[in-house]
Amino acid sequence: MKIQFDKVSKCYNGRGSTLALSPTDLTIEAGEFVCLVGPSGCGKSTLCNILAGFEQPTGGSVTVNGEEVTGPSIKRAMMFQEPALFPWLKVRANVEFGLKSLKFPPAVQREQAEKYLRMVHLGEFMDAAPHELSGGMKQRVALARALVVDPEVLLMDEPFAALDAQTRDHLHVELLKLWETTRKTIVFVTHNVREAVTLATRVLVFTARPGRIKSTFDLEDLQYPRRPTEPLVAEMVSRIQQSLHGEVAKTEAAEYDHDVDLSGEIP
Amino acid sequence: MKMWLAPIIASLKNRDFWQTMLVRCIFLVLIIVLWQIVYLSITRRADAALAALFPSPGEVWNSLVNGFRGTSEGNYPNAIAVSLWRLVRGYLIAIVIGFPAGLAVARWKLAKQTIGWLSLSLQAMPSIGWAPLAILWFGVTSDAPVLFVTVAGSLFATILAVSDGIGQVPTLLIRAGRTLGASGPRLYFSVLLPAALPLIVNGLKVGWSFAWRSLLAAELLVTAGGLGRILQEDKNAHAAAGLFATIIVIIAISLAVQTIVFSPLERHLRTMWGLENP
Repeated sequence: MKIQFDKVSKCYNGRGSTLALSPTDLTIEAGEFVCLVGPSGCGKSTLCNILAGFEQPTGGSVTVNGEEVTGPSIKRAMMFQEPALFPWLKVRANVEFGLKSLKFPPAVQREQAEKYLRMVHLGEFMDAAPHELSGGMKQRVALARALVVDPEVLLMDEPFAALDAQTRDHLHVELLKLWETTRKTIVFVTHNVREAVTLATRVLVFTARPGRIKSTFDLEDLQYPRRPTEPLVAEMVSRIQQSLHGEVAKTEAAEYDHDVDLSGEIP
Repeated sequence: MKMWLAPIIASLKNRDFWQTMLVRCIFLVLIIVLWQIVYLSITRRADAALAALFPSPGEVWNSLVNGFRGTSEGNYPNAIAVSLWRLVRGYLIAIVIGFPAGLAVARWKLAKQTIGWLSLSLQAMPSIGWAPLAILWFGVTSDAPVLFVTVAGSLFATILAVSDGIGQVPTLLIRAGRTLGASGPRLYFSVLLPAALPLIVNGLKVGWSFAWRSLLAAELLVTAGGLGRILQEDKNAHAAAGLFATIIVIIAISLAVQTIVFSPLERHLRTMWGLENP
């Protein structure tokens, strides 16, 4: 398994045309856990959506195993910031959904769904309705639903951004455990540097609009579990933050066009 | 069945429900008292001919009771059966045609440009406007013109409700479906349709109320029985009490369908879809 971005770029045509992603080359090998980090609107989600097949690149192409990406596929299962569970299906049926697409016999669907739900510690909630679960539990169902179809790559677009810090930490541990057992290739979008350093084998920092990969950090030598208090982890976080810092400032400068001087107005 | 009864039973146990019922009863009693006062002041001052046009609550009650006891063709049970049977048929025809048409409008651009556009235009037409044409074609003595007007009144609302409901399904759910391998008919029937169901049911409710209004309007113009016909006959007979009684029957039926069919269904879907806390 190999993912290859070949001069992939994306333009949005709204009022004038905005270059969201300048031509980008990127290769992701099997088993990697790649985190894309950058300020908001830097094209990291765009890159993820192009790989998922939800958006077409304006230029260049993406290939997975030499096959060009032309639309969404179950081989590239995606998790979103929202759980996006189907509310009319029970938890179990949500997880079975993708297996149904793959036309597995019902007995296998059931067995696999149960196995993966137990893997995310939701064995007790198979017959619950999604709205009965907490935010973190829903996101775990979404994770099971994406993993159960055994995709070539798991795409995660800020999947834990809407959760509280404790739940997020807990899910990091679970995700790493799952990744260590399945060695699934993961492409993970986040704006949280600490999250990226906790999870990734490689962190890509994006520049502000137009998005471009500014720097790459190789974290393969950093031992899991990575506690934020460990010196090596803390150092990596600060290095990436420094790289990111200038970009966030640029985005802010672009979004707030001028500062208002109030000094003369206040008596 | 459990799905239907559960919320009704739950509401019977709810204090809020009984409080609401109590407030409504007091409100109704006040209206009746006020009505009686107006009645008394009219009969004291106006001449008898005029006073006959404004019935007392008691007269209306008698008319209502007689209407249910009566054995003639024009009694309420009979008329209600005739009207509801027409309503059911007309509404079903509208759904059977409107549902697939709505799906098509949501699915294909060409259908949206043609059927969708036509539905929007015809939806703006007051359904009673179809009645003269329907009577010209089918005469005043059969069910057909009433059915025609009922279908014409609710079909376009149904088409628009189904297509709009599907149009409003969040992109996120569609993407979730597609990334899990759903496409074509499966995406349609396993993601879009169920996701749109609460809105579609809301649309069916609108379609029902359009059907019911159109039906009564059309029945005023034909001689083939039904509640609308009773209204017309009472008018011709200057039976004001009868008109009041029939109007009360019509309102009661509307309320009953709303309370027994649509409210529990909507509540169930909204709860299930996580749009509302149970």
